[in-house]
Amino acid sequence: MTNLLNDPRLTAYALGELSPEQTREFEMELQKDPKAQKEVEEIQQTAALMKGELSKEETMNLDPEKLSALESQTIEKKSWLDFLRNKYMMAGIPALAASVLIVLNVAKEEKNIQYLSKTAPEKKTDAVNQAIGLLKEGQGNIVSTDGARKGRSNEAKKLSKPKAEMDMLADEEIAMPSTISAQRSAGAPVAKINSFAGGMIAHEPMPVDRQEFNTEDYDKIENADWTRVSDQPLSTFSIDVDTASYSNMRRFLNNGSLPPVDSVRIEEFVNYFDYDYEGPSGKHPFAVNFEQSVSPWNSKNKLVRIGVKGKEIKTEERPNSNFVFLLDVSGSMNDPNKLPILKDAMKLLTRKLTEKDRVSIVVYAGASGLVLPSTPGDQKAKILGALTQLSAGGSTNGGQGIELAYKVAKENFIKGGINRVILATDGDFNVGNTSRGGLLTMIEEKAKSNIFLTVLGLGMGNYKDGTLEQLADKGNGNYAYLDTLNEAKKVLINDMDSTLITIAKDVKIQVEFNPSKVSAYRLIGYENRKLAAKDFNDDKKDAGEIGAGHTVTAFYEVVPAGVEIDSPSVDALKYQRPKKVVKGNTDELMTVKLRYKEPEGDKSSKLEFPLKDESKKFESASRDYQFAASVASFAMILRKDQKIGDMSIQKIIDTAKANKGDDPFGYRQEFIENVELARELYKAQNQ
Amino acid sequence: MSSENKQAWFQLTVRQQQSPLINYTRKITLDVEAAKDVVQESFLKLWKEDYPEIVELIPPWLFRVCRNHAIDIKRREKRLTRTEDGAELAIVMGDQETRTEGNMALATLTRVQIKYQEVLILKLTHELSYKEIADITGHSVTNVGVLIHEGMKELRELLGANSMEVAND
Repeated sequence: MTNLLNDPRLTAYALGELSPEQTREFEMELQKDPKAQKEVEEIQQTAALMKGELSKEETMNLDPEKLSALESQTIEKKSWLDFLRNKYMMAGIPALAASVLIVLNVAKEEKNIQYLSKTAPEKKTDAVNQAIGLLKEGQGNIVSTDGARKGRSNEAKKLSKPKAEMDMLADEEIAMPSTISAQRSAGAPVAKINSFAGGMIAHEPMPVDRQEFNTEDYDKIENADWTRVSDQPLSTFSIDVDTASYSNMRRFLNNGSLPPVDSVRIEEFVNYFDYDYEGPSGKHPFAVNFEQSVSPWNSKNKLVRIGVKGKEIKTEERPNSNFVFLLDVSGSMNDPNKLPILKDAMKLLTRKLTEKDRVSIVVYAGASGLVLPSTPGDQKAKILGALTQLSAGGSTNGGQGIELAYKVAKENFIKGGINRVILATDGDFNVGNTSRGGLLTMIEEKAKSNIFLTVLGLGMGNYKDGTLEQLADKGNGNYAYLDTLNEAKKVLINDMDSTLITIAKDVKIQVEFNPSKVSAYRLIGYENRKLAAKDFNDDKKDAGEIGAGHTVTAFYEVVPAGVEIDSPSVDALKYQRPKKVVKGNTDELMTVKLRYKEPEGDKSSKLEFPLKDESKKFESASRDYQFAASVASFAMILRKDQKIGDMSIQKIIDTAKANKGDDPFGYRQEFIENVELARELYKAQNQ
Repeated sequence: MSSENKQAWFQLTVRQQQSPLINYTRKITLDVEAAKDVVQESFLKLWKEDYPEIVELIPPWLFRVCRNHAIDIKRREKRLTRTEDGAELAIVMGDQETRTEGNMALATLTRVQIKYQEVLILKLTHELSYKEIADITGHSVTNVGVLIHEGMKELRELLGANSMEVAND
């Protein structure tokens, strides 16, 4: 046997430098050599340790004079100014430098709590208006809208803080700036402003243009088209309780740009909000509610809502739980928008735990490790201490981390309890098993052990939305995006039960349309959750999970029989006749079937609900229905869906306002403000 | 791409790359101000290039330009260190304690044989691939592999001796 210890491939393998083919070959040799295996581990540990330490090297920026010199030699003034206008930023003249310094200083002070204030909704539109106003007057200075928003928001904050934010600030532990953001904000003095100094002003300058250069990754989604009932009377899909796409959109708006089309998943927008559906009363863990009206964007069509409500579980009845926090502490997480939010989010959750709960913490960078072995939830100091000590550095071997986390979860498995891995990452897995396919196969395998998964996405710039969404999908999990600590609070505290307690798994919905009532239909959203008709009865086919008290909403837009649709039809068949329509049941629009499994079960149960055809004006529908429809409309507009017809942004705002209801957490109000902000961005785009 | 986009791209590159480039270059120049001059020059050079379509190619290109420029300066000043066989060495972290600034990893790296230091820094600090490191340093990819393999070995021995300090850091 050759001595692998002296083989440079050993280090190359450990550092992820071998090609897939070389890796396979080398792994075969490695299997026979335990000593070399140990060496691989040690190399990875050393690399991770070194990377972590080396990433602490001082941040060095070019001096302002050098940046100015660069600017003057690389920028043509005219186009530069136009560029600023186009990109929705304030243009600059030197005479106003003093006022800008004030704005910048305010922005700097704000930075410590920047991630707390990002959702502060009431000022966004103001800031945008202010920016536009300054643009029109040809004054202002080079500050991104983000910077402007922050500058402005400081004034506004004195007047009115949103409730959620006040609660959070009152919580002294999490209101403390974390070390990383503190270090960053204490950075270079704002001596002179120029276009390269963005890093000093705001973390994410020039957001509009970043889209072209960043490496955020979104899977392509095709807008749903019409399906004729005569061609395909069955529509089948898996439920989806993720909400990430909505908060990710909010992050884009807050940074002054519209979200990329493929980052918008309509169902995640709609499901971001809670609706007051009636809960289950019988033996099944959830109830299904329906409502229909004339479609708000096309008066010829109908809009049918299917609303699923999971049973509530009282806090004191929450089963014992075994949580494994799997936290990404690689170099890419070393950003005020990532690790600090993550640590604070986990601290929030930790505070809610009791002696019935157990927490383990696994971290991963180039190598992975168990930072905290399974610890009872009432030993808060120990858990909080472990979280506080986390720091970021190194590459990202997510695959290895997942292996270890599931191993720990399995070792501490509580039968009949909650067993869940909570993975928090930006998704940029770049060492070890980096292929999406490989990771998905692995997580699919792990999910079979009845350990559920929550994926929390963080950060921006190299955010891998597609990978994370699929991980949650394959790993019996849910997926949320934490753009702010407020969002962490929503997901982990306000919605704690639905996020963490799974009451049913592999929940699938199949709808059969009645051709005598419906000529065509389209499912709004759920594009990447569609299933083949035969998958519905196949218990081996994975589908979505539903949490305690969760509401899941899906809309079908339905074209009544006899109404023409703008979609090419196919020729009549030469060798077959269309199937005959069964007489009777003529008042039924459709039948909705639903399958689910118990959290630890293997066999599914089926529920079936016929739905009668009714006619109702959109305006007469329930508040929740109208609000949800306005959310879906907004998502369709962001997706540039042509079938949105008569719906305008203004109509969305009006509908949402009229149907806001109690809105105890202010989420619906914030939605309205997000739409208003988007309206301003569209206006600016069209100017 | 339009000139607008070129500007946006350029600004973003400057913002993202200035710190790693200065930190790398100053290990060659042994002087922060000189390093900043070099980095500024490299950005100007980048602006004048037809900028590459593949964004990933930019950082290694910048590293190479900075390295060559910094070595030129040192060569002119006759401050280059040479190996036993006479080859020029770019990175000499030397004995100036200020540059390690109490950073345990950096301090340990200064004690690794000089010939390994640069490749280890490019790999561990800047997370570049073997291929990129080869492009920057002019070594072959195979040679980079050998240097990093041997360098990591030495590093681990040194860290082993210091493991207590690291753990307590």
